[in-house]
Amino acid sequence: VIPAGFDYLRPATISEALEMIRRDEEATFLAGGHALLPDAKLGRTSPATLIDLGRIDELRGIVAFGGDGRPPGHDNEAGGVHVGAMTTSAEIEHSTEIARTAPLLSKAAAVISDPLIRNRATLGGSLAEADPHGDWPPVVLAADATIHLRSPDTERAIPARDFFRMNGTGPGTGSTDLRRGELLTAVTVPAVAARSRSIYLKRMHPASGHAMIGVAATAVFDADEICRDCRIAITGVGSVATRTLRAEAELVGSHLTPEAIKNSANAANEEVVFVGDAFGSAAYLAQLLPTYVTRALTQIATHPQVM
Amino acid sequence: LTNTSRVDTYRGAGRPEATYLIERMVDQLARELGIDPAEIRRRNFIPADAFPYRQPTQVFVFDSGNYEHNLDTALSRVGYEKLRREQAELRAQGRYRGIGLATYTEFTGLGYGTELAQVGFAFGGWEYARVFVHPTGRVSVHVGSADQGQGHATTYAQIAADALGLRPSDVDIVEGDTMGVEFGLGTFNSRSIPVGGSAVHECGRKIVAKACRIAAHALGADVENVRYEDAVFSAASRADGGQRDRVTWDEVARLAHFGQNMPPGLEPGLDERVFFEPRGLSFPFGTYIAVVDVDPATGDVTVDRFVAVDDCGPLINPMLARGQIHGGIAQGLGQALLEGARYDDAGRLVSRDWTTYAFPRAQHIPRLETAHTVTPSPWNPLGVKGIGEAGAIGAPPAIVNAVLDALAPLGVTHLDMPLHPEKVLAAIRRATTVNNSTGGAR
Repeated sequence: VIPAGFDYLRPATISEALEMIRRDEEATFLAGGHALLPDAKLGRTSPATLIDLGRIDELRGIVAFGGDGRPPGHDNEAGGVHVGAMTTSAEIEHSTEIARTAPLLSKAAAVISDPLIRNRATLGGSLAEADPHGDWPPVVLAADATIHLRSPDTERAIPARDFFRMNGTGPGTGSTDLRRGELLTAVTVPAVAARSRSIYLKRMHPASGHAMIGVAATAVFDADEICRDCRIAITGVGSVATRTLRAEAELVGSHLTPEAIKNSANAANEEVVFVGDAFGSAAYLAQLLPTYVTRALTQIATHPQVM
Repeated sequence: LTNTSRVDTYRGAGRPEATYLIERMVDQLARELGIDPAEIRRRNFIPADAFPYRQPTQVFVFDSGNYEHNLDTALSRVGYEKLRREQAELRAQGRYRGIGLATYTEFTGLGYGTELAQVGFAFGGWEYARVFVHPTGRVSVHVGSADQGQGHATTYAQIAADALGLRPSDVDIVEGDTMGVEFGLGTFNSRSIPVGGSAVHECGRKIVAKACRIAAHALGADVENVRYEDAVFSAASRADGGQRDRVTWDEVARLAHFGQNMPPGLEPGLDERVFFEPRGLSFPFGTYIAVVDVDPATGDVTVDRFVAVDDCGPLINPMLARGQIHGGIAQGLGQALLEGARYDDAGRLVSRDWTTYAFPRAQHIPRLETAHTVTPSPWNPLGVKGIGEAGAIGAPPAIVNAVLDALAPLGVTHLDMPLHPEKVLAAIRRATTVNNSTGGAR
């Protein structure tokens, strides 16, 4: 299918990009193109102007920051890693900084679709799109990342848990707090705490390669293996990725016993509004989710070497 | 009236459907009689000494077969006895391992005209080949069955080279071009090698026979005293006592085209055509064994192993044959587990592109273990049978039989393809509910 005609703009800086989108009501940012281009091909969207973010150097790159000598704007005491919005999934997959600081992102990157797509699709694009089956939204939720947004007048840093919203007005197919004219510029991920373990367990959609179900989980343990902190985020089964706070609460303060895991998995099901498709009805997804949460948490509980 | 998508035959064209029904019924029979699925097949095979075997319906004659040997080869390859023991152990642990068999027989190499007429075809079963030798000795071969990705050019070049005593690199193949290839019935029914290949072979023999006459004349020898080997014609001795006792292929090609000294009554040139029709259809066969694990919590089916032992007579190019088998099995696995046109409640097609229609990807396919038994066909000079569609014919029933074998302890006896996890899980849950309400009596 040949898409409708469109204008193509290629800014070199973030300010230029923001100015372009301010001037053109019908313009859309183009990142890796793995949501926008298939949609345009199928005629589901036909933007009048594409603003290609591919040549903006300040949107790329992975930079770890620590307790001292850290770049301005980052206030995390424990340090972490700054990931530019236009960083590709493949760059994240192969980054040693990410593997050291935020290993959950490395693990997730490795199971996103296939290498060809990982070479093009970007972290920022995935988050702005907030596809209900996207892999990055649950991962940044479980990693407790911060999303950085910029408009011509303001700069905002939003915790991931406030960014994805069922009633948001963002441009993507899911929903976000992203506003018209704003650009998602970067994600900062706090460095993993000592004695923390994480996992991204994905059921790959047999046709699309998207997450039919994705469970991202991080747990922090004390010396007695009691869970002190926990974040569980779910993608694929509903309209937008979501943290399951009650499922997390079931675990904090206890050992990850089969009993605690079972309660957590059941609680997760109560926090999700299931949306099915031809490869899995809502009822089927509701049958599967407790199994996936249980398997993810059991991995964390029984594999202390999992980082 | 329907607004659902039109469907048509694809790889296997009728044999996947027939084989699926037969192989599912045989398994059901085995289960009801309490006989092992391999054993019930063995007991019902046409014995090897009954070939050529006329079907009870009187239409087709099965050319050749040795089914029991093929079954035994597959059972030994997969380690059947050991697998059954492991399965029993896993069942005791509440795990669902399944072993599924399908022993297929199909027909390929369409095929003898009067036989075809009996089943409604309006044309005969010939295929066309033209082999001609250029003045340089290089050979062009035109074949009427076009390559759709099978790698015909390689196989035809091997057949032609063998028939002509040359190397495959001496041969150029032309196919699929109506500007170059004069006639052809086409590529279907796995007929290209048994029929098209035989046409190339026969045509090559005609060329060599004529070349021998030209060589004999040049050597002053009787044609029956000329030997042809490795592109050289030689005569034991000259009738006129002269010196020359050898002439090369390239020299004969030049002599044939210059045409100044042809044997009496022989026209110049080396250019022959053959319309080859086999004496009957060829019936390849095989045993496919799938080993699957079913996850009772999700309904997911994992194909752990897949052993395919085919018999398509002698293999001309084993790698290309294996490629056909691999592709066919992947396609059959897709049909068994993934594919299908889907519509929503409003009748809209929702499997509309590659993100919504699931065909098998690399991650769905196990390492495929292939092997062959070799039972030549008496119906064509190469003894070969078609292998292009076998995988798609044998794989679906082997996989579905394996899944139902895995779920046998639950009493699940039937599932329709495709075995989507949701469907499998629903069957497991239904069976579990029934078993619980009847005290697990099964």
